[in-house]
Amino acid sequence: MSNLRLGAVGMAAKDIVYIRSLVRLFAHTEKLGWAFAAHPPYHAVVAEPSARSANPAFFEGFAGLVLTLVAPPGAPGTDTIAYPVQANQFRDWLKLRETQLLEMLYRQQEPQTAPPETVVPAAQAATAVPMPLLKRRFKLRRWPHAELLKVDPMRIRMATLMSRNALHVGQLATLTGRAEEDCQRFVSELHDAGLLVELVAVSEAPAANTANAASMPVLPSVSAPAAPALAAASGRRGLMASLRRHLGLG
Amino acid sequence: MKEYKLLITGTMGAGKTTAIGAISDIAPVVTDVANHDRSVDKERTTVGLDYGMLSLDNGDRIRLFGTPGQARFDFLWKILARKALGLVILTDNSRPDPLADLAVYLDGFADSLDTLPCVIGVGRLDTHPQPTLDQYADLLEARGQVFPIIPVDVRQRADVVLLIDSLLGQIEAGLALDLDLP
Repeated sequence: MSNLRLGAVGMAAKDIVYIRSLVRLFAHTEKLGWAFAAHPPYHAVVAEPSARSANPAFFEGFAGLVLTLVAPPGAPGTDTIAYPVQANQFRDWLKLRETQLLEMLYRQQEPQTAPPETVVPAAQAATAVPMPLLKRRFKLRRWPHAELLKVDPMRIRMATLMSRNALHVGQLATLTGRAEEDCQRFVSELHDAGLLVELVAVSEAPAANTANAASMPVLPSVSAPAAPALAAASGRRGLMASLRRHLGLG
Repeated sequence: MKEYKLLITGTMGAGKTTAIGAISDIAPVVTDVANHDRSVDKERTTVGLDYGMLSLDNGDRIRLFGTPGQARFDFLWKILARKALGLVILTDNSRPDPLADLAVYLDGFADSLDTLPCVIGVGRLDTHPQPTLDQYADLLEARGQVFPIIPVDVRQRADVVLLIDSLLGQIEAGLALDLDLP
């Protein structure tokens, strides 16, 4: 599933289209978890060297998750890739970084104060993680226990939404039409039961990157979602609405 | 007018044909023949595709395909899964090993399941409470997968609609990300 956001910085439009196409292709053929993001926050970026040198503060927040394009005969390293981009090299980098990034995100989910070998009860873990949950994006890592769903169609719906993508409470409320308080209560229960994984954009990570985040510029290379993608999403929403009406789902 | 497809798969006797009939606007086209598999207490079984249709108010059509249940047809599953809106996997808790049955379909559709919305409908849970829904969830967790697991009586339209609603929810969750919903 595509939950990791890859951006492109300082690149020509044709190269951005190419990168975006490859990311989409790999999401399907290689089952990679990346999606191309038109704007921050990003989990990683592909960048022209000139963009990197022009605004080093922006890139410090990515801490190794920057793939820099280099012109031949520059020897590609761990986080560099020859331009024009070879699809297989790009795929390999995405695979490598996806694994590392997901491991890092999982580690961030764990309570920082607990020794590694200590099993922290779910309720205790919940208090160790800063609240509120309102703006944090969570995804289910396991379908909830029956007692938690209470055979409630709305709870099943919320769990369904979170089984697919990492969402925050506001998004849940928008998608379900329920009050944020109801959604937050359910998310808290899932959180306390240890059923959630949080997605944290590296650029938004607390502590070490706070200063950078505060001054983080929005680079002009990709400023808006692609129009065809928005149109397709809009069309799909119309289909969903029509199908719901047809089935009497309101 | 655009056309889309939804797939319903599952073991022989899980109720694919019945589920299609519960929501289809047309009488389902069925391809049942006499069942010679004596391991399943059922007079007839599907050998081709069951078919139903939903005609929407915007002119679009949703084609409902019920796949043949036997694993030897898995080549057909892969073809059908292409460009499908979603997949319903029906399990029958009265069978000897429903979790193994589910694994067959998860494997058979594995190429698609990272992107294809999917829901598990567990049938006959009222009369056969084992395995529990939590055991189904355990199986999925062990495989690194999270799909909704919902008890279902495919004879009840509302139950089948809930399965479809679950697929729609997954599609909407994807759209939320695409549109960067605030």
